[in-house]
Amino acid sequence: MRQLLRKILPHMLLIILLSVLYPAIIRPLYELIQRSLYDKDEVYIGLLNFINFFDTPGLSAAVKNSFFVTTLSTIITVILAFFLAYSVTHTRIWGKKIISSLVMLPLFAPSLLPGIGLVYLFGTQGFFKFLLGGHELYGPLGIILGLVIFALPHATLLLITSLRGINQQLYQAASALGAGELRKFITITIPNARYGIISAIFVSFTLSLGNFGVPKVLGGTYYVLATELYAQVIGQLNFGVGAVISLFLLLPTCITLLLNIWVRKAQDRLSAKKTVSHSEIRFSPLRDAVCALIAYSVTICLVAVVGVVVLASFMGFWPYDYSFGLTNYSFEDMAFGFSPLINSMKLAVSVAFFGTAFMFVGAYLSERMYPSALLSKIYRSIMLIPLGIPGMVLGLAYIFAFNRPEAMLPLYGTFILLVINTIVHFSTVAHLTCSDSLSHLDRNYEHVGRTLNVSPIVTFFKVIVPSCKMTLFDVFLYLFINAMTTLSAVVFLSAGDSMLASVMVMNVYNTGSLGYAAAMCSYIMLITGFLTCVRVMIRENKKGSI
Amino acid sequence: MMKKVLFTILGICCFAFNAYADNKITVYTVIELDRLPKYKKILEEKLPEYEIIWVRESTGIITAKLLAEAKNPQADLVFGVTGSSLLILEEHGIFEPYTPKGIEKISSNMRDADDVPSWIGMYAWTSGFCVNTVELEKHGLAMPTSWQDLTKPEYKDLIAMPDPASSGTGYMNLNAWIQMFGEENAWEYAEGLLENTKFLTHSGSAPCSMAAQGEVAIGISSAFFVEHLLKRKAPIKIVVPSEGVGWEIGAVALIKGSPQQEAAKKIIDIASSDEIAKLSASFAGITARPEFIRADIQESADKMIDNNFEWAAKNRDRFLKEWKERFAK
Repeated sequence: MRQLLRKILPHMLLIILLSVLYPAIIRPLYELIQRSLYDKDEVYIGLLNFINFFDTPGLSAAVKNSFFVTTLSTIITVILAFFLAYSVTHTRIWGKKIISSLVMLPLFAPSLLPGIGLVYLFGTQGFFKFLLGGHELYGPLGIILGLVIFALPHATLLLITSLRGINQQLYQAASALGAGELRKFITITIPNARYGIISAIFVSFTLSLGNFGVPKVLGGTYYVLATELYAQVIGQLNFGVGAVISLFLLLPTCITLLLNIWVRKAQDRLSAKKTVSHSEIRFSPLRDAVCALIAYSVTICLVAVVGVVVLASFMGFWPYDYSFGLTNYSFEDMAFGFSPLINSMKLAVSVAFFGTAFMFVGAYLSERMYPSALLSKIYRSIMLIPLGIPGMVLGLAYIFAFNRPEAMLPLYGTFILLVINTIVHFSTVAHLTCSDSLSHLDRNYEHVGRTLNVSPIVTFFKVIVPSCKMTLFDVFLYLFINAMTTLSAVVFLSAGDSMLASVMVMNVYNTGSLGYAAAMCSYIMLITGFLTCVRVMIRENKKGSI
Repeated sequence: MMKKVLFTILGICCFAFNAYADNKITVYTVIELDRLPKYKKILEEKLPEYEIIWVRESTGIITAKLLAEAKNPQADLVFGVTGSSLLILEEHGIFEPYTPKGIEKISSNMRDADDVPSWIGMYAWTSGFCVNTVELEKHGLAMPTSWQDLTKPEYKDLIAMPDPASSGTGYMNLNAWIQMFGEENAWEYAEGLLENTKFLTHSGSAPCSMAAQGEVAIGISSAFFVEHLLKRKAPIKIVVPSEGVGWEIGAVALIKGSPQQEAAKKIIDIASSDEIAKLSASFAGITARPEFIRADIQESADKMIDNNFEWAAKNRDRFLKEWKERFAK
């Protein structure tokens, strides 16, 4: 009996998890597709929305514009990210740790921040306006700059991992055979990093295409798909057309996703887990000078964009009243006071806690209990979907799925829905991180447990969970930071009681209280930054104790 | 140690999901964030047994939400929502008609014309230019005084305005041009204006804030949005264009089938009271109770065009399509 239970239990648990994924991921997407077949007055019109798509004035321009700015920003992002990652992993320049931390700065702030920072620096009143050589910030130029800042941390992270993984013996062998730095770079570094580069391209492209914060602040009179989606849904109440634009935004990410799975597999085969110590890297002044120049200037730019917002948050009224003070930080005049910040923290803690628990259990069941079963394959495939759904599309899908009396669950307008939506939005990376960490654990733990006749639940809590402590903490942190800063998915769902800090930033930005918006951004960065420092300290401590 | 941390986290989560009590009234509003506490104070003084929960969004989002929630209403009433949006919502049967106490004191052009009105106005506001005097001086330009002035070549790239396609205020302007200049001339005018426009915003208040920050010199916006900017010493002056100005109302209306009908009716009664009229006059200037209209806003009130809300709502799709066809690039 116990034997039978032991066999069935993991299946049952996985089925339970899958039944949660249905309303959380599958059903909203289905409703979105369905809604695209209806017109404004909810009359079924078949494929007419699609047929009209390119006839709708502005839409075809928005498609063209979107692909133009996204492609260009992706190219720039990946080139810069590659130099940054290369500088951090393969050169002897000073301050590699500082560079790799500072590049991550934009991750800790709401997505409106790069835009606001660029306006302060390069806008009409910006100190560095002359650097644009008379070109207008508002429009394609501003959007591209903003998207680069927004996507750079993600691309750099991917490329650092990829470049670290290159087997050092290849370089030693090449040196022994007399190859120069440039030759090694072309014949070893680039080919070995190619999967990382492809991943970085896809991630940058997907993130940029669905980004709303940057074009909102810097778009000028230039229409792109993300703002067009907002205008169609919010401005003209065209849910059907909104659904079609959403599907259009999903299209490239679907391709991305398929390619990404292929790349991940290839990457797994290549990776060598050994990290390189500083002293192993050969001395090359020219290489280091070039890399230092690029890495330092990119880092300084990022710090400037974030820093100027923090600076402005202490000013009376930028750019006319530079009196220093904390008025912006009191939120006195604001209807909601500090409650959006508190709501955001509640959301972040809930998302991080339940998200980590769910993803870890799911990854454990699918990865280690029945890795070959059909169920775990289905589970793993579904978990890859959210990565490809732009936030605004997910938010819209949730409105369609949960906002009817006959909806599956009476969740509309509740805090719980916000939590579920945010977990789903960031679940793929959380799941992959858990899976990766679990697959590297010794396969024999469960086997030993069984032989000693210990319950698998005991094995899970006493062996598996403790050995993945750092991973769990990382996933917790990842979900926490993203829940604090995300705007695109929650903009349709956050309301009254559950008004969030990141949505608040957008609202006060609209009404012109930029000081408040900057102060709110600073608070958010303070919280997310503090937690990250705690994590770094724990990690350093661990290293020291070994 | 690990356990303690986990329990603390779990505790916070439980706290976050705490139950919603039923003395809460959900009010959808588009009123600016810094004004809501003042309204809340008056409402909660008169209705101490209830707690007001604001859901504050732009007009477009509030309208979209109400339409999306039609079958499952979340809001008990709308408070300060604009006329153009009210007509769309009325057409979709979102409102429950109700005659509040003191209806006889309300101006006839500021309420639904039906015997039992679907909505009651509280205040009105007009469009206007937010002009940054420092920037204007820097460029050595004269103060614009009319809509036509804005198409002059010297104002090139110095103007921000709300996008009619995504902002209620933007559509209000487009509509005012069409009603004032006639359709053909209005499109021609819009083309000239866009030639000078640097930024199209999604919100009606954003152009004024861009002018206040000096990103542009002129923001086509409203005196309605300027109070908090002036308080923070922004160098802004409001200009009422000589040809006339579009205007909008902020109104209250009861939502059909909402959870707190009785309480919502009480709030609608209060919305016509002296206290609310005085408060609205302090920033909007023009109120639904004519005796409270502020003297210094009289100029704007006099320039108000004979606005046909119904016609504006009916032609909205057509005008916006035309707008996109002509100007989306």
